[in-house]
Amino acid sequence: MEIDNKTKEVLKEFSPQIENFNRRFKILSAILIAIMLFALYAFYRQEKEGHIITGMRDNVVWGLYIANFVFFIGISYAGALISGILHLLKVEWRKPIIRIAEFITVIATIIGPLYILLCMGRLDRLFNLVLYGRIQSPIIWDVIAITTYIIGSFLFLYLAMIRDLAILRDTPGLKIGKFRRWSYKFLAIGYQGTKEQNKQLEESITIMSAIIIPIAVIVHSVLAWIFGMTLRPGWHSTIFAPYFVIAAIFSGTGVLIMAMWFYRKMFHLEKYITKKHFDYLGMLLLIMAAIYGYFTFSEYLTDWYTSETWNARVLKKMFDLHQYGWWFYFSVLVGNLLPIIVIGIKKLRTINNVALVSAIAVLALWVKRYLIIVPTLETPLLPAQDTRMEWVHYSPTWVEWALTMGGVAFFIFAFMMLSKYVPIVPVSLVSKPAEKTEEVEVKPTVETV
Amino acid sequence: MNKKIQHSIIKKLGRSLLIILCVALIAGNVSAAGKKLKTRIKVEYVKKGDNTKQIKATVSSKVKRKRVTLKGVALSLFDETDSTRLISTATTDKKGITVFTLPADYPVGKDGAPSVFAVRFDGSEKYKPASKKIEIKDVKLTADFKIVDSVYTIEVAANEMVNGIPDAPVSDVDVYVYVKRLFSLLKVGEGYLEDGKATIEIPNDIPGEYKTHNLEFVTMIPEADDYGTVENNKTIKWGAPAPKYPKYDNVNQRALWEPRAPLWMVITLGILLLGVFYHYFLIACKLYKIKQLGKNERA
Repeated sequence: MEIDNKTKEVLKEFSPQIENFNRRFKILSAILIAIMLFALYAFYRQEKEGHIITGMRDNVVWGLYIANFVFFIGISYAGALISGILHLLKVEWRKPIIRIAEFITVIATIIGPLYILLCMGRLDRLFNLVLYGRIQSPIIWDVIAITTYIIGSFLFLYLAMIRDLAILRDTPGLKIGKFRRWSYKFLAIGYQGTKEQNKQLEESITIMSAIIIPIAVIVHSVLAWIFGMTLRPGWHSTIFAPYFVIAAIFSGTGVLIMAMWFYRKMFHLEKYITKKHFDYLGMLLLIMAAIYGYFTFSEYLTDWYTSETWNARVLKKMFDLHQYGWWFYFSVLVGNLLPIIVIGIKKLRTINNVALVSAIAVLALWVKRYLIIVPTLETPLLPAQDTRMEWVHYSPTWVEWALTMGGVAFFIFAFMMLSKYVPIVPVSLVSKPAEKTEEVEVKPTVETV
Repeated sequence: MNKKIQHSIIKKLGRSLLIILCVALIAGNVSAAGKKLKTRIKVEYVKKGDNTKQIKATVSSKVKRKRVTLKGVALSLFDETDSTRLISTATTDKKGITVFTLPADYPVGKDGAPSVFAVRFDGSEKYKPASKKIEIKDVKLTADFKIVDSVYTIEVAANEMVNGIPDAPVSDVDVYVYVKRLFSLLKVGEGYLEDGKATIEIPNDIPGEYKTHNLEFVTMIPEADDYGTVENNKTIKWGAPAPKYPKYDNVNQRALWEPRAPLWMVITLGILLLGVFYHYFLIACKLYKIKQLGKNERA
């Protein structure tokens, strides 16, 4: 494939990113690998000794693991929705950030379901899910939806990478190993940039962009229905599906902003990832915070008015500062209002501030996932007789924390490794001239008299 | 002078008392460090429905005024009826329990005299040796299931066994009837054995197994002084069928025990999956086409 000068210039800028493994990268990798190994040890202990070494008991059978599962599936929205919508609308400023978004989607979609496996008491019986699974069970819907979503996310990322893989294959002088060069050749599937190949690829990306959006919405709705279709206080709600979808876009946008800030600093991408990106995505974050806040208020207000004993008990736990009060106010007030205030006021809307409030919002949303799961399970509809109080109250153990940290470490590590494999900014896209969008002549609707 | 003498006597006495106190304290500590803890063995005898006999031993000790069970304790079971004979050895589990199972034909209550079983612990560096004996007579417990005037009735009979033959009736002991449930036994009736017999009425609305309506009854004399626990098991179709939901209720349709999901659900899911995977397939075809075009270009 012939590579034009503009592309060569752009690639020259990014080649150190994929060629060099500097000291900072190695130290960070070593720390992350150490955390992952510790998580593996925790997993070994959990498998050897059983779930008794976690904080989960008869009442609270879902804890940190399911909070993490919902959280990771939520942030996977970044790629699916943002890059999907921006591609369909042919928005020019999407180009430098689209790959970061797609990486988030793929990695988060892999990590999320792993927490389901960690939550299972008998992993050896996993195959029974396939043998005896019932379609009427929301759990099976979730298994089907997430499997479909993982395939779609991989396809979407792969399609968007083909052009860059072909460029890397055909660029001589890159200081990379033989295997890596072979992998570029293999994955580029003979793409030469001909008109017909380009047309086929563009059509494929458009199809994927269009279908990944409803798939993502369905996946998160199904996830919400796992909670919503049980008769549990705080879960049995008709707005749970859209509520989860909004939370997912909210957290996905937050993580995308954080990743953009990190890569901008790390690889000095100021030329490509500009303040405009932070402003636009910041605005999206603000809108999502506002909608999410509205949903949260509506949900809790409705619950509060129904005054059902069990709902009231969950709400009391949320509002009580001696129970989950501080967490609740942090997730609802700080996590919602801070992005609105900081991004809404122009003077405060700096790159660092947008990244900071995104990080706080993401943390608040993780706390919210925890609050959706644990207080409800600690409030069973049927009071258990002769039960021990330590079985009713959930407190995560070091095993659960280690595996949580392991998941976060894996997320960052996989991100770093992928960005060493292909440039974090799509070279083929940013070196291309702006895509033409159809211009529509706007006629005045009011005639001048 | 007197005062001086008094003062010196008090001083000497004080010193002596202090020395005695120190010696006592040190000696006390030394003896406490070297003192072994008392061990207690609790033994229970259970004759199961299939005539196997179990001797369950629980080992415990008082540590810091709290009774705790001891795991990993080696216990020996002896039959001391005629002469002392070692039957088996075993180690306690993490709950401090070990269960010795004797075969169904193991002779208990030979010639009308009770069998004597002893469970012994030889002691360890930390714990004192201990042993516990129980004397057991063999009992045959039978349960006859009858419907008398539409009332579900169990006629229980219990006799002491001498050399395998029923002998004197068992009297003045309680007898209970349970139904086996998923996690534990559910008590459904109770009676009192007089002259070896008891009649127990049980309710007729206990839900049985989903399809067969079977109920597994366990008739039991629990922890009797002379006989231990004696059980009789029988499975009979006395279970009430599971309640049926009315047809207009949608619970049955979405119930997990229903083999088929509602048709609308299967169709919706099918259409959704077909739609998505058709597009995946379409993209796979396009990727193949890109590959072929690349080959042609190179050629």
